[in-house]
Amino acid sequence: MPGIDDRLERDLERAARPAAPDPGATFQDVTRRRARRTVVRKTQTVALVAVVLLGTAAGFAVLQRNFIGADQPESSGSTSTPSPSMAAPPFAPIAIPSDPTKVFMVDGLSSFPVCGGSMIEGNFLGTGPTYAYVFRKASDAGCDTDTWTVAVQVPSDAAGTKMTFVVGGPLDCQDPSACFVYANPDINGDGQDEVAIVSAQGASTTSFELYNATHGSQGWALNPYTGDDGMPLHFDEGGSATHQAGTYCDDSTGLRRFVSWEATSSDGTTFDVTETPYAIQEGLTASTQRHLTASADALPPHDLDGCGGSIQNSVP
Amino acid sequence: MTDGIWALTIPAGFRRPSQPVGRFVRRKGVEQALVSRELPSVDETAIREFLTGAYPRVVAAVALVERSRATAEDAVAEALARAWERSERGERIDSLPAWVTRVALNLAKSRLRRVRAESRAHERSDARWLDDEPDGERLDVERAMAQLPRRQRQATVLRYYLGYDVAEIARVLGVSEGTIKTTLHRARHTMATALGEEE
Repeated sequence: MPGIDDRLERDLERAARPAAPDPGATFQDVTRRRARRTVVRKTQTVALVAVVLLGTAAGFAVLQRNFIGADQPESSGSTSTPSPSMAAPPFAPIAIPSDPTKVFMVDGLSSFPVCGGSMIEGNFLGTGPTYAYVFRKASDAGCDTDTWTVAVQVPSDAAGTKMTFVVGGPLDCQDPSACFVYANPDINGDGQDEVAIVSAQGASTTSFELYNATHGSQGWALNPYTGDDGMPLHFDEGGSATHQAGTYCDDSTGLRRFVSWEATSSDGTTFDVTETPYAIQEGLTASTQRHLTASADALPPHDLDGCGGSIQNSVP
Repeated sequence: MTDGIWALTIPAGFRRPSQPVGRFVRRKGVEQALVSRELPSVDETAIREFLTGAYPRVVAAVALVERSRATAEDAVAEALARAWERSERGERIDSLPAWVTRVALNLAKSRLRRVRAESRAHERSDARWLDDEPDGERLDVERAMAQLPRRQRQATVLRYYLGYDVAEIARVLGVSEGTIKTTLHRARHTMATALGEEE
């Protein structure tokens, strides 16, 4: 044991041969290094503080945005998309099979297949033409569910080169043959079309509801105009010899009104008309009804007359 | 021990043996490494005293491990600067030589630091590894040391050159005493074989 220990102790002592130090020069070197480290540490501290402050500010902004968004009315569907000030791209409409029972997938819409699609074109975002659709959710067994939804194509990126959907609903459709996207009126006259959707169809009367796309902090949302009960408002068009109904927009007072009317007749020539005007604010608010008598050829306007847009689908 | 630079107090948990460890007699520099100064921890006076005291042996120890005196000088100077800066921030360093040895050994492992230090030394042409005339026995121990892994070189130098005991080596290298015993055993075996000595 002593052999190797002694040898190592002796040889390492000889091998090391500590150089004669220059304490003055080394001290200057240490001082310079300390000064440099101090500067680096202070710089790092400042940078860290800046990062923390920026992160805090960014976090606050995100939270503020989210909480402001939480104050908005709950929407049935929304998607994060660029603001409506951006020009809408000329999206190509998706191809809808002519067979309403054919099940297919729509990229960007949902993870489930759909069927029974219908489509119209309109300025639903206020930025230019785009397309609105009504789809029926399909199941594994095929096109057999009672769940319907409305969707509008919207841009998904700032450049407007990508497309997604803002979805509303589910729609209250009872008859698979009578649930389709109907017209693109501009009910409130703001330059942005609403989506009129037929949700029921009688022998001669078509019943529709209106959906309006809005852009908020959470992106686009698609919500129906609702009544006092919170349910979607329904409006009728058409009728028979003794019962008529219709809708129109009235700008005669300088303030846009949306009017829904219903008329009944016992003889088919003279009708008792009840008009329900709707004040347009955030949505539609029913005002005092007006009753009048009119002949069959002098009934109020109908088919969304004066509202802009057009009825594009009258049958599914 | 009585030169007044270092107080004779031993920090808690830092056992100072009353007898020499094995056959190894402590040297003055090693004694300094085992005790701590009273307040303040590290200041300009402490740095200057270190430079005129333990510095040459600490540099030589690091150089033996890394086989580069330039790297050793650079690492020790950087460790001293860090000790000074930390002390200014209120951190207490009980034993400056032991702390500097540990930090310098860690810093010297940096390949980038080695390249920079040797480049500067080359420009000065004043700091080559053991640049004296060849010495047969010394070259033998250098070659034997070169066969050891870095951890074994560190333990060997701390043990046989600085005279640290197992507990002190474990403290400096940040491992258990059992690990140091094993490390030293393997290093001694390798060195004995390389040098033709009996264990």
